[in-house]
Amino acid sequence: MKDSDFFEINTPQIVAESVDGEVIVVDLANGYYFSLSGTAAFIWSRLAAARGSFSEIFEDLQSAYTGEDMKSGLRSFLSQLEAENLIRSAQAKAGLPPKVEKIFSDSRKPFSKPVIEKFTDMKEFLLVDPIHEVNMRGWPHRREDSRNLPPASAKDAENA
Amino acid sequence: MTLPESTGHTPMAPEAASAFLVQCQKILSALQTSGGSGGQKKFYRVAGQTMTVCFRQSFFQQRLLPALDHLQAGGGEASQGVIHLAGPDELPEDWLHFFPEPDPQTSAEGFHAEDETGQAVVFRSDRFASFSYLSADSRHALYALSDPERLPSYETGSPLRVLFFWMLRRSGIQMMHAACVGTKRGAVLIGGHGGAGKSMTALRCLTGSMHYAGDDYTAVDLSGEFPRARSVYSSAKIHPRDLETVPGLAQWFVLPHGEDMRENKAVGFLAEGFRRQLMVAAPLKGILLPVITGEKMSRVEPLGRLQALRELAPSSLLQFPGAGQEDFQRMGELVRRLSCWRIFLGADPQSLVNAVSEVCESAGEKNNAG
Repeated sequence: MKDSDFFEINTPQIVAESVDGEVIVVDLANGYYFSLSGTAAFIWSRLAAARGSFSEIFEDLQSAYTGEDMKSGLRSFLSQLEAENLIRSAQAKAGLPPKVEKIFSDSRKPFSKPVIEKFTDMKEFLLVDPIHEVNMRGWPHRREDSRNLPPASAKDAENA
Repeated sequence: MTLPESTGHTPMAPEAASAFLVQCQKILSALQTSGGSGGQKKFYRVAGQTMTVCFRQSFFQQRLLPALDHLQAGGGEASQGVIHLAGPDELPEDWLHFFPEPDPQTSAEGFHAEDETGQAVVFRSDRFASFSYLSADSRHALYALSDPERLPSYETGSPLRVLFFWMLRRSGIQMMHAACVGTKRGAVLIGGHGGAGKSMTALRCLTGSMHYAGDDYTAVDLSGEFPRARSVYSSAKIHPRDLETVPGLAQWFVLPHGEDMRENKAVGFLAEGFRRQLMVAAPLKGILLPVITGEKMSRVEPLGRLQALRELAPSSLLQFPGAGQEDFQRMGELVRRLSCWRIFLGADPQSLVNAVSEVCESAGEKNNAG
C-alpha cells in the first residue's frame, strides 16, 4: 500500500450507521456486519466524509491522535477493510482535496490499534430460510441439519 | 459444505435486468389496459397509505390477502398505490423461462434489479417462482406468480412485503423485521433475527390481552413527535408444536398441509378472532430485544443503543431487496429516539406480559444505557 493510494467506501453494497461514537457496518451482499469503535470509528468516519489517499487519512489521524505505530496501524487496518470488501481503491479527484471536518480536533488522544469486530450470525440465518426454520422440538430450537449448517450460536464474533 | 458467498438478494447482470424490467412493464401495462374486466378490486390502508389491489383469480383472495384483512378500507379514497396480482393465466408463455427450478445448492432467495434512475425496481424470487415489480411512477406495481402451488405457507402470512417495503419507503415509512405489541398508551417493537423469540413474545402478549400489530414485520413512521408503529399484517407464524404452548390460538391457525412439517410453519390469521386487540397504529415507546432464558420470570433491563441497532438493523436490511444506506439511517434514528431494552424471556406467560406492558406504559423517555 503506497501513500498515494486512494480509498473509498464500497457503496452501495456497504452501508454504515454511527451511534454514540461507534459505527456499525453491514455488507448487504453477504450478510456480514461489523462493529468499529475508537480509532477504527474515526478512520471510518473520515472515509465516509470523503475518499482520501493513505497520506491524507494519516494526516487526519495525526491531527486527532498521538502515539507510536500510527502509520503501520492505519496501513494494517485499511488492508483489513479492503480484504473484507468494505472499502475499495479509488481514483484521486482532480482539483483541490476535499475539505474534511476533523471529528476530534480539540485535543489529541492516545492512539490505539484500530480493531474491527466481525459478526457472521446473520448470514447463517439468511441462509437457513427467509423467515426461519426450527427443528422438530419447535421454537426456539433451530434445525441443525438445515443446509448442513453448524448449530446456531447467539453471536459469532471474531476479531478480524 | 462450504457456505456460498452470496446470500439474500443478488443483483442481476445488467443485460438481464434491463430485459426483465421491460418484460415486467409490458405485463403491467397489459393488465392496466384490460382494466380489471372480470376482475376484483380490494382496498387497504397500509401504513396510512390507501392501496388498491386488483386481481382476477380467486386464489389470491383465498391465500394471499387474508393477512391484510384488518386493513380493508372503502373504495372512496384516492389510492397512493395500485397493485396488480397476476397468475399463470395472465403471464405470457415465454415468461416462464425467467423462472428456473430453484437450485438447492444456492443460498440466494432471488434476484433484484433497478433501472438507471432507481425508480423502477423488480425482485424475482426463485424460491417460489414469483416476482414483484414497482414501476418508475412509484404508484403502479405488479406481483406475479407463475405457479401458485409453489407458494409456501410463510408467504401467505406476509404477502406483498417487498412491494410494501419499496412503496412505503418512498413516503419515509420504514418496514422493519420486527414484531409489535402494545397497550392503550403505546407500543413496543420486538426485534432480533429469526428464532430470537419475536413471534412467541408477541403471541403470548396477544393471549395476555395486549394489543397486537404483527409478529414479524412492522412499518415505522418517523415523521411525527413520536415514532409510530403501523401494522401491516394481522397474521402470525409459528411452528405447529409451539401452538400448544399458547392456549386459545390453535383454531385460528392453518397447519401445513401435505408438506414437510419441518419446512413450513403454521400460519395464523387473527383478524376475525382478535379484531378488538388488533392495533393499526400506535406511538412507539421502546424497542425490545429478546433473549431466551431458563428462568421462570421475565424482566427487562436497559440496553445500549449500539447493541440495539446491531440486533435490530441487519435482519431488516437483509430481508428487503434494495434496502440501503437510507434505510439504515432511519433505523439509526429510531434507536436514537426510543428507549432500548433487553427482555429476558421467562417461562411464566403473565410475567412476560407484565414486563412488556411496563415498557409500553412508560413515558417513552430514552434510558441511560447509552
